Amino acid sequence: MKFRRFNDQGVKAFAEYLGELRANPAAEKPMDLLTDPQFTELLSVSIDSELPATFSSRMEFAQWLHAAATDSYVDIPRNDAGFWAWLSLALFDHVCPANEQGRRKPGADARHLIEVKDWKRRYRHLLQNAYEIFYLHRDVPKRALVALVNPLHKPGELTEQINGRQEIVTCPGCISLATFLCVDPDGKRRRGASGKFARVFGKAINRVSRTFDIPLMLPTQSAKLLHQKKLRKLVDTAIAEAADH
Amino acid sequence: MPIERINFTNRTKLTREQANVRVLPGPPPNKFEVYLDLRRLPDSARMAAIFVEAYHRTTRMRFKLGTVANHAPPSPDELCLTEFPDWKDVSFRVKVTDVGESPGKIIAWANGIRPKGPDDDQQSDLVRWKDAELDGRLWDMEFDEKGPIVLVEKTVGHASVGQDGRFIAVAFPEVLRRSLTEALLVDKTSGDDPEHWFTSWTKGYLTGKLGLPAMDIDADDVEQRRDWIEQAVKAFGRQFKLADWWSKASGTKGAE
Repeated sequence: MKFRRFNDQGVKAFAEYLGELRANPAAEKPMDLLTDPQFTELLSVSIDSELPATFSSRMEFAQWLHAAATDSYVDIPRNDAGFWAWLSLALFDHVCPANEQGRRKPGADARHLIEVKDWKRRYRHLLQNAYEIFYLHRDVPKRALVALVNPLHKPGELTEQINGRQEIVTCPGCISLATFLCVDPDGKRRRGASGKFARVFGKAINRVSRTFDIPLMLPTQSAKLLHQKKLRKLVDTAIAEAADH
Repeated sequence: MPIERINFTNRTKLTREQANVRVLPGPPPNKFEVYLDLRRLPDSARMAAIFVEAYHRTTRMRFKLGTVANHAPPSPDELCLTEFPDWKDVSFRVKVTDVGESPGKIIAWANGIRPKGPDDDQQSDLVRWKDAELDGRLWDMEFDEKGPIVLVEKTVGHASVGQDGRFIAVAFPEVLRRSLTEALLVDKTSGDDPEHWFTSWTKGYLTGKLGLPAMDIDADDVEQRRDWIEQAVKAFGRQFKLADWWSKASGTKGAE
C-alpha cells in the first residue's frame, strides 16, 4: 500500500469518526478515507509497504515502519501530523482493536491525532511515539525496549511515565538502565516495573546525572548508584540476573 | 528556607570562558566548533574524557573530544548538527568525565550553553518572543532557564509588535525592569553564576553597552538591588531615546 497523508479535511474527518465511535462503539471504520483524494495527498517521499496483520509489540511496529522507509531509501516524515493521522486509521485495528462484540474504545484523540500546537504532548500518539523512541535509539533499538515492549494499543503507565521524561527518553544510558531494570533477559516486563517505579526512577536519574555521566556507564554500573528503597528490589533482581548470565 | 544543593563530588562548573560553542557559517547541516580551556582542572583530571552534547527537546547528539591531556576532536565534518533542523534551537553541554578510578564520575561540566552563531560576535538577543493566548492583554512575560520570553497576543503577531515604535517606547523599559527584578530579586543571582542568563546580560550588555557599574550587591540588600535596577532602566531609556520612538511611530512631535 502506498503511504499517504491526511490533509486538513482528512484529519477533521478522522477526528469526527473518533467522536462518532464514542457515541456508537460499533461504528464502522471509514477506510475509504485512506485513498480518497479529497481527504488525502501523496507524501513528500514515496513509501510503499504491505500493512502486516499483527504487531506483537510497539517494537515490532517501529521495526516494520523503519524498514518500509529504509527499503525506499527515504526517511519517515516524523513531523508530519497528517501522515501520523493517516497511519493511525490505516492501522486502526492495531491501535484500537474491536472486542468480540465488534465494539471499540478509542480513548483520547491524542492517541490517534497529534496535538500540533503542543509538542510536549506528542508522546501520547501511539504510533508516532513508538517510532520516535525507536528512531532515537535506532543504533541499538533494544536499549529502548522498556518503552517498546508493550502492544501498540496498550503502551501502559510505565511507558507513558518514561515517555514523559525527556531526560530519560533521549539519553541512551538512562533508557538502557530503565530497560535493564524493567525488562528481563527474555524480553518480558518485570514484576514491579510500574508507573510508580518510573516516577521514582525519574527523580533518581535527575539527581545521579548531575554527578555521573550515565551514557558512559554500563547499566550494571549505573544501577548501583540508585539507592532509593523503592528501586532496590528491581536493582537487586536485575544485577543478580545479569551476573547469572 | 531555600534548599541548597550540596556538591559532594567537587564537580567543577566550567565558565563560558572555559567552555563555549560556536556554530560555523555554511549550508545545513550546521557544523560547530568547541572552545575549551581546561588548564585550571587538577592534574588528576588529565586522563578524563571530554564529551559535548547538543540537545533540543527529544533530540540529542553526543561527541567525544578526546581527553583533557590530549584533545582529539572529531574532524570538522563530523562535528555536524545533522539531527537538528535549526541550530538556533540547540543548547550544548560539556562534560569532563572520569574514565579511570571512578568511571562515569563528572569532574567538570558546563550546561545550557547557547552557541554563538556565524553572524554574531559576543552578543545574542536579550529576550525571546513567543505568541500566546493572553485573554485580552497585548503582552506579558515568562521566564525559563535561558532567560526572559516576551509573550505577545497571538492574534496580533509578535514580529510586528516587537518592531513597532510605540511598543518599544512603552514596553521595553518594563521588559528590562521585570527581567532584572526576576534575576536579582526573585532568583537572587550573584551576577557571576555562569549558568544564570543574567551573567551574559551583564557582561555583554549592561556593563558593556549601557555602562552600568558591575552588579556586586549582596543578594539580601533588596533596596540597593532595586536602585541598581532603576539605574539600568534609566540608562536604557537614555541610550535609546525611547520617547522619540513613540513620536516617530505616531507621527507627533509633542506640543508646539
